[in-house]
Amino acid sequence: MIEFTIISWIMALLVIGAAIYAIETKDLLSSAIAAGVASLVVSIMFLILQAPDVAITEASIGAGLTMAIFVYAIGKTGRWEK
Amino acid sequence: MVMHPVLMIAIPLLSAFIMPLIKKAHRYFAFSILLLNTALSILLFAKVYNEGALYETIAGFSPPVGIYLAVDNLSALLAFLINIFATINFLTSRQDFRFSMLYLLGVAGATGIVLTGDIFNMFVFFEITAVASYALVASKKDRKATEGAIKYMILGSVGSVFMLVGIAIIYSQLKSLNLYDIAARISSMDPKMMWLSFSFLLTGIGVEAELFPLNGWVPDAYEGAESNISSFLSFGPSKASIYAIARLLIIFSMSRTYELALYLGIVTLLVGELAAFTQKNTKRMLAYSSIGQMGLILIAFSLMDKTSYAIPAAFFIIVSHASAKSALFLLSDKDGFGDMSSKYAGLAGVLSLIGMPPLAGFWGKWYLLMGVADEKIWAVAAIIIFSAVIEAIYFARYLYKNMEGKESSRNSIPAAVMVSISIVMGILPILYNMAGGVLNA
Amino acid sequence: MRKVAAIVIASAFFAILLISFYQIPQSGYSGSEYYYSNPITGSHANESVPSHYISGTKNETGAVNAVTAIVVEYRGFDTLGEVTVLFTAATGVAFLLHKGKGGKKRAEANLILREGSKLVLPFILLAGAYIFIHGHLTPGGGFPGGAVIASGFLLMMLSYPKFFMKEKPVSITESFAGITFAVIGLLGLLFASSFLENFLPLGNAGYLLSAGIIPVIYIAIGFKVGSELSSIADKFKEVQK
Repeated sequence: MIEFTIISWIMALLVIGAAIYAIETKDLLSSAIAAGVASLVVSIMFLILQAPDVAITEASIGAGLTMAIFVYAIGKTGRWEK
Repeated sequence: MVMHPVLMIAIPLLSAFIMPLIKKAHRYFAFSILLLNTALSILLFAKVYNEGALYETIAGFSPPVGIYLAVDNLSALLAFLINIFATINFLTSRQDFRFSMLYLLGVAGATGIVLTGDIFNMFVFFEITAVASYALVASKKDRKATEGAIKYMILGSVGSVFMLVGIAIIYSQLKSLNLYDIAARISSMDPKMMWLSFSFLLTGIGVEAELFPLNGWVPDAYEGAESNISSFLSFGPSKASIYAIARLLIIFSMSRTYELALYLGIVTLLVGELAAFTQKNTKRMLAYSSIGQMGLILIAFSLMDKTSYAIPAAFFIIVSHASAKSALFLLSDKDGFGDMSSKYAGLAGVLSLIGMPPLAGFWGKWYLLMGVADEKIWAVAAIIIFSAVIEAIYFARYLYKNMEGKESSRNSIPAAVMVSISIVMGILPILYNMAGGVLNA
Repeated sequence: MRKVAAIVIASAFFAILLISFYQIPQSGYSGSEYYYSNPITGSHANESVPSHYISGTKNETGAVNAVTAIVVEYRGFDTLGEVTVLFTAATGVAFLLHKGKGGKKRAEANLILREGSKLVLPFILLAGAYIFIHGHLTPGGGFPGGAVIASGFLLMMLSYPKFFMKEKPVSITESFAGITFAVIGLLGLLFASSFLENFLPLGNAGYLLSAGIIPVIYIAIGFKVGSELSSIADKFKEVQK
């Protein structure tokens, strides 16, 4: 069980780190990618918590589609936060 | 007679799905669906009024396991109000089929909020009506509309997350999502968790219900949107969500939560009315005045546990506000009431809002003051009267400015019809008994 | 100053959530404190709702996957609502962005990306279809399956700048899938006693053709979610300048 605890802590720290980076960075493109990373790690956490249904959805929507839509929107506006 | 309230939600959803296939006749189609819905809501009210509260299970599972709709007198009346105003308001739309789809979905969502008896189902309908409203607000596609829509969308999505967390806390404690079941067992919940979930839910719904610290989006969205959409916002989502707050208060039903709602209502009332007093722009003035009226409705609902006047008071303020304010918003696309019907609608609407007898607004304030007087909370009575005076002053200014105008709005006839409905409901004090019936749970 | 205030508020909020997380009783499903009461009959049951879901899924719905049974049967009305939320969002995006086609030329992707994405597209679509057709048997269902299909189309959009979703077939698929869902609900009202109630035979649990209306609804949801998500992505691509 101890390894699950360690993995969960690492994942939690990764999610928090990615989330803070997504908010703080001035580069919107890396912000979108960081949000995607957070989603991906969350989906792995769902898998560890035995919720495969949610994990599939989170991986394809959170890490895939949402990020692509963000990137398209950034392409339409501008890459740098003012 | 068999009555299925679920049809009032399912048919608009189905027709919104059909809409892209029949692009040409979309306006007639949507209008006839709205008419059908209004007819169904009248039948529903007749049935509920004669036979008491109506429950309909969905998917054939008994309630705490499955979802159910719970319809009482007040929710049937609100469903009727939302649908009839939606029908009238729809006459003023001049957009393409996607507008009709979004409008139908928004109306179906608002109807769902008042009819459902399940807290997660309520959340889903909140989402439907909120997402539809964001798009409708932005439909004007200019800078102001977009700004209003973005503010609305950000606050609204944060609000939905809060609501979802509140629901999750309740489910983690009671293992149930059914409103009745929760209400029956809420006392077994740890008081700290109860407060936590209550504050999450109140924050979430409060964004839609335009309560004080959460209503930053209101003036911008109402000002930016097309005038018929401002009108839709003021009778649809906001009224449904204030009713959701009433159900929330009944579920938690602690004296402290009622007290909190009372203070929140008072602050919202004062902030809204004072801000409206200082506004020059007509639509912003009307929007702030809406905030004030929502505060008044919340005050009425927060006295629910103390006096039997509270629910009729809230109902009449809702009727008066939904009809008169929607009509005024419809008229606000031009400065001035040029023709007779807009003069009539503007005058009667303002009189109802400031509470002239025998209009609906008067009965609302009258019952509210009766309730407050019963409880001998004179400070609240003083605040209500003070705000009514402020309201009268700025509405007098508004009338003075508009009666001079020569231009007339294209929407004057629907507006006149809306106000007439409020007048009819106002002079039927028989509705006092109807609205005073059982409120579910 | 604003940043400090934001950090203080956020950490206070985090602390409240953390404290309350530790206060949540950790007891499991069983135990009589979680009895529920039926609002219509007023009777009480000696079972909690989650344990009813776990024990009743197989007999009441014929599905093996309890999550699917909850999503499509027990709380099917919510799912209809959620599908509608997505539909509303897609309609809103189309409503607001349908002007302004074309945009600047983008460079072609390189050969490996182009040919590779052509090669994997059928497999992605197949995986998506598998996920939603087998929703009542294995993890997954209409939403994930549809999302996987949409991500396949997204891959094509990324590797071929000129790749477009044709608007008409997409919107017709979307409409028909939605109509199927709502009509199945209404048929439940007609053939059984309530909206969305199962009216097809349950069959043998564990087989592909079982669980009554669940596979039908999930196939409809899969098509609907897939077409909606890809049309949203397509709309954003279309207006790119």
